Amino acid sequence: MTTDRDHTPGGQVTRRTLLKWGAVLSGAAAVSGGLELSGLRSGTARAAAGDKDVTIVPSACAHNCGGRCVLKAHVKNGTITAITTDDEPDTADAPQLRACMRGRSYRTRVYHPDRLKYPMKRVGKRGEGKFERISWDEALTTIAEQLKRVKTKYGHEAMYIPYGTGNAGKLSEGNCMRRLLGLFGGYLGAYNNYSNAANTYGTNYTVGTENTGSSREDLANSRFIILWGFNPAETVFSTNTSYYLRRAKEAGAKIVVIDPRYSDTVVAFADQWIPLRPTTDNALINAIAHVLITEKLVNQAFLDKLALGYDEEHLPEGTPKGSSFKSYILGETDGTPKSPEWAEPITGIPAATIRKLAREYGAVKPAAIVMGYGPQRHAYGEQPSRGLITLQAMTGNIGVAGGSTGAMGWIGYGRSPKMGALPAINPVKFSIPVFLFTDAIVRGTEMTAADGVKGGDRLPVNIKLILNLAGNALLNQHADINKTAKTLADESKVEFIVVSEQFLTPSARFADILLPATTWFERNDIATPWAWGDYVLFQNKAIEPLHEAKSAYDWVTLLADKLGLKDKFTEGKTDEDWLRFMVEDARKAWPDFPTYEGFKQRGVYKYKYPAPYVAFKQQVEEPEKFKFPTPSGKIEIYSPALVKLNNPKEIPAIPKYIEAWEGPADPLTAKYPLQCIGWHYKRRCHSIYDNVPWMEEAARQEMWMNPIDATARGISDGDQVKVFNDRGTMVLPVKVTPRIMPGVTAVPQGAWWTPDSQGIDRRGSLNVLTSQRPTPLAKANPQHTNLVQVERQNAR
Amino acid sequence: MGRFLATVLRRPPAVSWQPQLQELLAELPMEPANPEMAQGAGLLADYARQAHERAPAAEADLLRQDFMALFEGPGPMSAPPWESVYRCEEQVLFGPCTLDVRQAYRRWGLGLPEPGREPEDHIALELEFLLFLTERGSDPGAAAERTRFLREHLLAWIRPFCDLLEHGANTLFYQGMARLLLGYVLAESMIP
Repeated sequence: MTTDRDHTPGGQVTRRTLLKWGAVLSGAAAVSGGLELSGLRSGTARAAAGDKDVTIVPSACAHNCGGRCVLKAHVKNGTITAITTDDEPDTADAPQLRACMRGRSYRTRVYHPDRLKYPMKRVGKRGEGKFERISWDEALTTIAEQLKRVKTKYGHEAMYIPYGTGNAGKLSEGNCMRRLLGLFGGYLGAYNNYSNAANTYGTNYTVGTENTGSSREDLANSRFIILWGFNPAETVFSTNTSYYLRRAKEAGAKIVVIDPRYSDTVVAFADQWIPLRPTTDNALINAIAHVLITEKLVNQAFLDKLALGYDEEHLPEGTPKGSSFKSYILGETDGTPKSPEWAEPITGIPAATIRKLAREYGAVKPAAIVMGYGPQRHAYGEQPSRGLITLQAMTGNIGVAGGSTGAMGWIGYGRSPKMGALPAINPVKFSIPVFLFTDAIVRGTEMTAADGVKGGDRLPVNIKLILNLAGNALLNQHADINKTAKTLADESKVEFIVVSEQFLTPSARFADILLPATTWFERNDIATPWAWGDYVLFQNKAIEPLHEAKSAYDWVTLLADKLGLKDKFTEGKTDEDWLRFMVEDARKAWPDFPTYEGFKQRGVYKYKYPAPYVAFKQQVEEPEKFKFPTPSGKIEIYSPALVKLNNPKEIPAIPKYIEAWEGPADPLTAKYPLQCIGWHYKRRCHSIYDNVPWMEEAARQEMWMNPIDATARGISDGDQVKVFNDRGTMVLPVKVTPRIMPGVTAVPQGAWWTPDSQGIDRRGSLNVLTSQRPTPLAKANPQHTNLVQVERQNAR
Repeated sequence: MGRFLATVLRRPPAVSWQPQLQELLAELPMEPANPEMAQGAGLLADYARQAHERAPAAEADLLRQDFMALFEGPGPMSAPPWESVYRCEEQVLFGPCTLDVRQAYRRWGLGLPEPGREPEDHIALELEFLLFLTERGSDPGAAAERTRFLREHLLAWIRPFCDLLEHGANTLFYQGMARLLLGYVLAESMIP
């Protein structure tokens, strides 16, 4: 009641009325189930002068765009009031690790009203999104019971932790849970990723390793750079990659970008943009090779010394005649020379443009080809990596300063200090390619080595329990959302799903138990960059966990207790003890590495190298002494190991152009005439930040379409359009722009699937259109290989 | 009434409110301070009649679902119950107005049991603070604080909040609560 005195400001509220409301209140207290009714407490310290002081707490943005950037939380009285970024001196050898707009918007993410606040249990049908608040104890008891039940009934191979997390860190949910499940008896393992699995296979089969990259400073030594589907201006792809490109450009390198989209990287860096039809990369590679051969721009001595199977003279013994790459390019066996004229109708690039590019590329030394991950997220994604390594070998650009290996790859890990990690051992030997986890739900026991199963002949059981830890690849980032949603909704398949999250993502909607996760600002952790980064970041806890959120280490410890594994799990250590242990590990190998306290206080350790790293320098300079880590010790343009896989059409021994299913030549184009690719949007990191209004304001979710395709459909810029194929339908606004080539549309990946009552996605989540058919060799995700049709949605 | 509102806006009911409301509304004609309060009471009376025909457990379920959709999530809420969502540009929690509210509480030795985990500008907490100050009406400091708090906080967001609440609510109960709350805060602001 308002007051204990009578008042009649409006003239009417009487004491009696108010007392009566008081009676309702006592009833209300009784029926509220003992919940805390009164929020405010007396006894809090009175406001003090120090309240206005701001403490600056170093942390980091470590979402997996590849960048890891410094974020500094300005904390006043326990609350973050502002976020700034690296303000240490900005020098050529140690450029600042400045955050992009995503990181700088982080306060609006931490304090988003939609943060998950309490543990919840599902009350409606799975996926319906109906939940009820429960206590942590009830949530963890349920999880422990389900783990025990599934262990007894199905065994450890039925438990799975999906790939991907938006809450990365040394003490992430995934790392904590893998340790606990390992101690509990294990879980079905997974290998590969959704980023670059096809490239990894392509490079492994060609040069024997995925560590094919030179360090980025070396770009400044290049005179000619081809960015092949590489878009770091938007994707970041390691903090400061754009900075190194800028330095290369200032040093005089010509930069050509090959991309169906006129990306921000084209805007910022390109001397020339060459749009290419998605999936036809190897047709262009072939045509470049054809020009190099016919115009005598090939470094034959390099190939003779270092490559297997470039020409007939360097094929392994007993190989059928005509199997070499050169024979294929010249058309000596199939009668089709892979000339620029041959490539023009396939790629959409004029033959003259291809010829000019090839001549320039063949003549200017050193030349680097830097491949992005987009070109290998295709039906035959293994081929571009193999093809581009072949081009760089033909021009002698591998192992030299200013060159590159062609395919995308990590620099040798030996260059970075190794941080320790939370120890985890998985006693289960079985593992699957991550992209096939939905197959392992539906037909796991039918899956064998042919499906990429490792560790045994055949999976013993289907996946029955899922612990989805702050990741959205359970649904939103996996291919074919509509199919995946049906699979997950079926409670007879996966019997129990736990999701730990910061928000109710499309994946989180499918939880049986939903746990509120912390952000980095609410815990201590360490962030390590991709292999290009020459630094490590400490993430200081800046504020208390919001609402009832718990950090991974805290709640997994409580779960371990319920499984009788607490002492084994913690080894008596707190979260900071483990971080200290990791830093000590790094200090053993790197005496310069600061103490734990020093590292924590500065928030970053940047280290310097005497010279740029050039991949395969030794192998190229001293081939007698240093071999490529392939079976032959050479660059395997022709791979005997691939021949053994006995699928020459889809897994050829040499890099080939293979017409993609749902590529531009697929007969399905009669029904769905437009190609549709995704791109990594600057306003999101995968699906993270999709719900941050600042980011929507900066870059709304929209489809790009060329004016030629739009006019043919009566579509104008800004219209709502319906995009569809046999797998799904979405509605979103269209940007009509010549920044995308005709015949191709693009929808930035990562928007949160938002189905209406008809199942039509109203947000524009690319994966309602994508296919679960894997690439043949890597079993990787082909998520840019889609045919669609587009219609105007709203009548004007 | 302030405490009643603070209670129903803070937590969903464990069981139906219906019997209490029924009793209240049956016994007592409302004597509203303003049209908003009268409309609120009317909606609540409608609700009580309607609820009377449903099983109490089902009734409580409905209210709980509505409460979550309005105030709690998971996911976007139709009427986020925190002042800063309405008053700071970023529409997030813990905005500058939250800090100002926190300082106001602290001037009176009040605060949350676990500071920093939950914003202080939740509607229910602001109502509690208003009651606290009202109860100390004889203290000129409290009266001044009360006037300032109403002007700078409650009145600054109560209308947009009640609008969202009224339009977002699926039950007559919370629709009624929206009008009642608005009427209550307006009535309070008339008291010197």
